[in-house]
Amino acid sequence: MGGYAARRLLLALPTLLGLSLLVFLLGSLAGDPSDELAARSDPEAGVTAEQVAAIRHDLGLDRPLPVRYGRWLGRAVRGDLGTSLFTNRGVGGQIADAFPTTLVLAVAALVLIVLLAVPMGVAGALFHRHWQDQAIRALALTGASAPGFFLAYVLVHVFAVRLRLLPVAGLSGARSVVLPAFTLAVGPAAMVSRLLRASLLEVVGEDYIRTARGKGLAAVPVLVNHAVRNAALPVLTVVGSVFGRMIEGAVVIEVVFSRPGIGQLTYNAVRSYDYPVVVGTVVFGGAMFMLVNLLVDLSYGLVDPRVRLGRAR
Amino acid sequence: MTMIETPESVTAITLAAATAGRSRRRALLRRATRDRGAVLGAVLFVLLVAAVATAPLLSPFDPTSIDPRHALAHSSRLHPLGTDLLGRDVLSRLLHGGRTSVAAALAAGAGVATLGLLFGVVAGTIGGAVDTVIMRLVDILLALPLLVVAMVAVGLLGGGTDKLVLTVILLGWPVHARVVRAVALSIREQAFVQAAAALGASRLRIMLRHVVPGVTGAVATLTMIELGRFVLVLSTLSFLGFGVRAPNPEWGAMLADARTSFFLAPRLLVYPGLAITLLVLSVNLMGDGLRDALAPAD
Repeated sequence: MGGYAARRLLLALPTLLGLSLLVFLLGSLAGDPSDELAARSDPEAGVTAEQVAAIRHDLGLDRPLPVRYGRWLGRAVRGDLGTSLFTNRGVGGQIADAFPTTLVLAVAALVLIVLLAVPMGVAGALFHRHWQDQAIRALALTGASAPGFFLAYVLVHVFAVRLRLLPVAGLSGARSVVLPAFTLAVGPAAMVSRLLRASLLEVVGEDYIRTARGKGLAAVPVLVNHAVRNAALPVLTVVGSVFGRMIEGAVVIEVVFSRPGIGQLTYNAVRSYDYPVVVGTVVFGGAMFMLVNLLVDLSYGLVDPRVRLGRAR
Repeated sequence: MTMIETPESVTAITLAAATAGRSRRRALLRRATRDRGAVLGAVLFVLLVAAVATAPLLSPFDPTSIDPRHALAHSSRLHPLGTDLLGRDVLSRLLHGGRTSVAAALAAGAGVATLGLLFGVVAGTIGGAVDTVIMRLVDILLALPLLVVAMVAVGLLGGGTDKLVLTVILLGWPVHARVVRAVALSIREQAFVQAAAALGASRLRIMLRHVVPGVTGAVATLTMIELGRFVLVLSTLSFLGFGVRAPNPEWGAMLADARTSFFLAPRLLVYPGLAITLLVLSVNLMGDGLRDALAPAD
């Protein structure tokens, strides 16, 4: 298992390199921020060519692209992701400040996904092809079809403006995470519930379920104790990939709910052409995604002892 | 089922349809039309597309003409859905805005299907080093967060719907390529394909004559499933301000505009939001029906 994990981590490196190179290229195609930075440093006086050249040199933008990328990479492997063009703060520090906010949102959403999806999936399998199953399917499909930014405003209108139960936006204690986490959870929960239902229906046909039913156990305990555990594997894959993609989902949610997390950091950096921050956050997000996927794959062995990783091939 | 689909689960299902010939495809369509949800989705989709396609005929007003005296009007016979903060007719903007949303999603879907078909068939039929290179690229692109990279690309290179669509196509094809490759691999092993090869058919002929017709069912299903995701990604980026420029309407951008009057007139958020939801729902229903028809085991 250790060897398997090491190989996976090794395979993640070219992907991260490709990702950083891609974002780096996009950043350089976007243009040279030196003029704007020079104008900003002294808005009253005119900007001289020397000032612009000095800033360009300071940023290393007078070097060819491969050299710049090499320098960035050399520092990045030592943990230095550069400095923001506008706040003059280290990119790594900004990410470290923003990450907990996003992590709290993602974990809360994950809990909600499980809380919503498991009852829906079990009920769907239990009432297979009855009207309850159809109603759950309709609900799940509609939830998965609504864009997050729309859902967010509907929830804010109902729970914050009308009922005044929860805060509209911002970071004010545990209650402020409920609406954003719920918004983030609806789509994935719909998907996971459908997957769990399909997976359960498959497992229900197996011999050990018939044995358990034959012993006289009722349908619901059998489903919950025996079937759910065995149906968990495909569900775990999706939950993992959803968790990894939270950075992606978090962009629009954090912007709508004004939560200062990684998503909002990325969004603001893109808006202000602060490309050191953009490169840093995107590479960080990609690394997180791959790490979570690896952890999910490793956890298969814990959920299902039949799975032996790294033996094949 | 949904918007984000893991390639693996789709692969498993599409493998069942690997050898779908013309008669099997007809049977597939017949099974799909028996699914009431899929039929509902198709009807909804046709209605939406027809409505936005005939927007200039149906719209009572010019979608960009401003009338501040009638700002934030409630629905009336003159303005069936009322007016926005600038007094523009909401129905007209909704109909015209849908043209951009629908056209962009369809263009992205067509582009992704084409690229995915091309790379998938080539990788699956030729194999060897070509396959390895394509699949490594697929792995890298699948590990990228589509929305974030698209936002970075469009944000840094300058907005515009065409660039938005292009970015989604360039980043979105790997899901298709992976499925198509898996199906192509199994078709390659079929007796009739091996017979064709033994008779001296060229690799190009095998690809065009045997592999491509065999993967169309899978491509159609996957495109339908992915289309919903593209609508959501494109409208999200528009909502965030990367895409259509004011004053031209687009559903995501309309929702963003409506935020300024969120407390005064929340209904302005509801119309574009419902429009996007219905569009995504219609393609999801169709994709769901097609997939169930491909794998009738359930």
